[in-house]
Amino acid sequence: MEKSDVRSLYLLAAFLVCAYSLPFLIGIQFGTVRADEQWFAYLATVVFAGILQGGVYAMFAVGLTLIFGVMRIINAAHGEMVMMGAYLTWVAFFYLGVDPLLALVFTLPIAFLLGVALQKVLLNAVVGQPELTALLVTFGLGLTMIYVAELIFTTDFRTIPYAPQTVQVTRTIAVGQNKLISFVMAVSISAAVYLFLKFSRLGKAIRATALNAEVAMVCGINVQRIYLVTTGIAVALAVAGGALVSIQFGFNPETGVVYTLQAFAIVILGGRGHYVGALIGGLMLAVLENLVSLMIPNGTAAVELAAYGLMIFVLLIRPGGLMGVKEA
Amino acid sequence: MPLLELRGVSAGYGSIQILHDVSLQVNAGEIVSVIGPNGAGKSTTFKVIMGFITYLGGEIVFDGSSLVGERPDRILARGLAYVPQGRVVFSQMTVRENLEMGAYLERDRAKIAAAMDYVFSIFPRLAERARQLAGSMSGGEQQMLAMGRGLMMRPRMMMLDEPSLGLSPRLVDEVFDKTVAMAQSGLTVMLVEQNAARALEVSQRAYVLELGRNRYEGTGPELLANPEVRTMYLGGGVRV
Ligand SMILES: Nc1ncnc2c1ncn2[C@@H]1O[C@H](COP(=O)(O)OP(=O)(O)OP(=O)(O)O)[C@@H](O)[C@H]1O
Ligand SMILES: [Mg+2]
Repeated sequence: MEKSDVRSLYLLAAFLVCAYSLPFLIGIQFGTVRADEQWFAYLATVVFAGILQGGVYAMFAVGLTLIFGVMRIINAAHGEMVMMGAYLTWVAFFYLGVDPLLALVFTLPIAFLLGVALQKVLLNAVVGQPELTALLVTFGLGLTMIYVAELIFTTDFRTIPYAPQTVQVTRTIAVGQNKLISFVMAVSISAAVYLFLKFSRLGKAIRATALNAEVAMVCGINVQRIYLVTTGIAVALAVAGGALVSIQFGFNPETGVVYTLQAFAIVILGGRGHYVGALIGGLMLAVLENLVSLMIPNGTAAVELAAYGLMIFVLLIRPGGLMGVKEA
Repeated sequence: MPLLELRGVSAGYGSIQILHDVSLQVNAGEIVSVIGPNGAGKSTTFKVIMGFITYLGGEIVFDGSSLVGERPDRILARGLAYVPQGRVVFSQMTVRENLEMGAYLERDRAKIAAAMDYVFSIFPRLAERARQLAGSMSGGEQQMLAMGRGLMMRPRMMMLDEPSLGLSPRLVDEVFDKTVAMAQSGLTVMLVEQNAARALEVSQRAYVLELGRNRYEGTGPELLANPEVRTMYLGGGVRV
C-alpha cells in the first residue's frame, strides 16, 4: 500500500469513529441517551436489528457493485429494481397466494431474464460510453419504472404481513421473526453469489472481465455473454432484496429511490466494484442508521442525512472507500 | 497453402477506416514480422484478424477457412492466439490463475495441467512465481506471463504485439529468445515489433505497413538490406 493510501485509510477510520459517536453525543444533548439498563437493552436491540437489516442492504448493494465492476455502469435504477421485487412478491402473495419466500423460486428467474433483456435493449448501448451517459440512461429507466408502477399499483403504500411474531434472541434482545428470516436469506444468497464468483468457471470469467475486458476477450471469454449474465444476476439480487424488504417495510412506487441512494452509499463506503466491500458497507450503514433513529428525534430525516453525509464524507476523504477502487 | 492469409483487408474503428487493402501471408512454422511507424495499423491488423473490430472488406483465411465474422473465442478455439500490446495480464490474479484463464475454453483438466507444464518448461520463472499476484511482477515477467497465457490453449499460431515494448535490453533479449524457442517447438508466430532490426533477424519474412497500407515485403535479410527500409526503420531512429 502507498503511504498516502494508508493515511487516507486512517483518516477514514477516524471519520467513522466520529460518525458513530455523533448520534450518541446528540442523544445526550436531547436526553435520549439514558445509560440505564433498559436503554442499554434498546441499544443492543438496535445494533442487532441494524446488523440484520445490513445483511439485506448488502445483498442488493452487491448487485450495484457487480454491474459497476464489470461494465463501469452506475445503475441509477437499482432501487427501482428492488421496488419491482417488492411488487412481484406482493402480487404473488395477494393474487396467487404464494408464500413471499417461496415466490423467489420463480421471481428470481424472471428477474434474471429481465436483466438479460435490459442488457440487450439498453445497457449494451452504453457500455464503454462515459459513465455519465450510463447514469442518465439508467436514471431515466428508474423514473420510467416508477411511473409504470404508479399506473399499475397507484401510489398507495403496500405491506405484506409475514411472520409478525417477535423472537427473543437473548434476554434483552428481541426482534421480529421476519427480520431474522430476511437476514438468513440475504446471507445465504450473498454467500452463494460469492462462492459462484470465486470458484465457478463462469464466476471466474465475470471477475476476469471486471479486471480487464480486453484480456478476458483474448482468453476466449465471450464478454458480451458475461455482460448479460452480470446484469441478470444484479437484477435478481435487487429483486431478492425487494422480496426481503417487502416482508419488513411498507413500500410504494417511489420507495426505490431511497434504496438506490442507500446502495450508492454502501458501494462508495465499501469501495466501488468490491464484493466484500459492499457487504461490510451494508452492515456499517444499517447499524449507523439504526443508531441515529434510536437517539435522534425526528428519525427519518436524520437517518437519510446520516446515510448521505456518510457517502459525501467518504468520497471527500477516501474516494476509493474502505477497499479502494478497483482499476480496470 | 499459407496458414494465415489476408487478402485486401480493410478495417477500422466505427466509421474511421484504418486499414486499406492489407494483404499478407504466414506459412506454417514461420516467424513473420510486421513493422512500421506508430499508427501504421499494426495492432489494428491483429484486432481485425481476431474479430475485435469492424471489418470493412477483404478476406481473412486461417487454416483453410474464413475468419470473417467469427467471434474471438471461436477463433482462439481454432488455434489462433493473440497477445496484445502493453501490460496485458489480470494484475489482481495470481500467475497460476492467469494461466488458467488462458485455458478458459479448455474443459479437460488433464489437458490444462499438461499445457501448464509446457508453459512452465518454456518460462521456468513463471513456475517459481506461480502464487504471486501478476501485477506485482516486473514488466518483463508480465510479458512472459502474457505469452505463456497465450500458449495455454496450445495454439497453432500466435500473434505477438510488441512483446519487447518498454523492456530493458537484457529482457528484450530474453523475449526474443523465448519467441524463437516457441517457434522451434512448432508454433507459427506473427510478430509486431518496434525493435525492427531484432525482429527481422529472427523472422523468415516480414511486411512493412505504413498508414494502413502494405509498403514493403520480403525475407528478413532482404528487408535488412533494403536501403529505404534501413533509413526509415533501422537507422537507430528514436521511436517516440
Ligand atoms: N480504439 C480506437 N478508436 C479509434 N481509432 C483508433 C483506435 N485504436 C487505434 N486507432 C487509430 O488507428 C490507427 C492505427 O493504430 P494502431 O494501434 O493499429 O497502430 P500501430 O501500428 O499498432 O501503432 P503503435 O506502434 O503505436 O502500436 C491510429 O491512427 C490510431 O489512432
Ligand atoms: Mg500497436
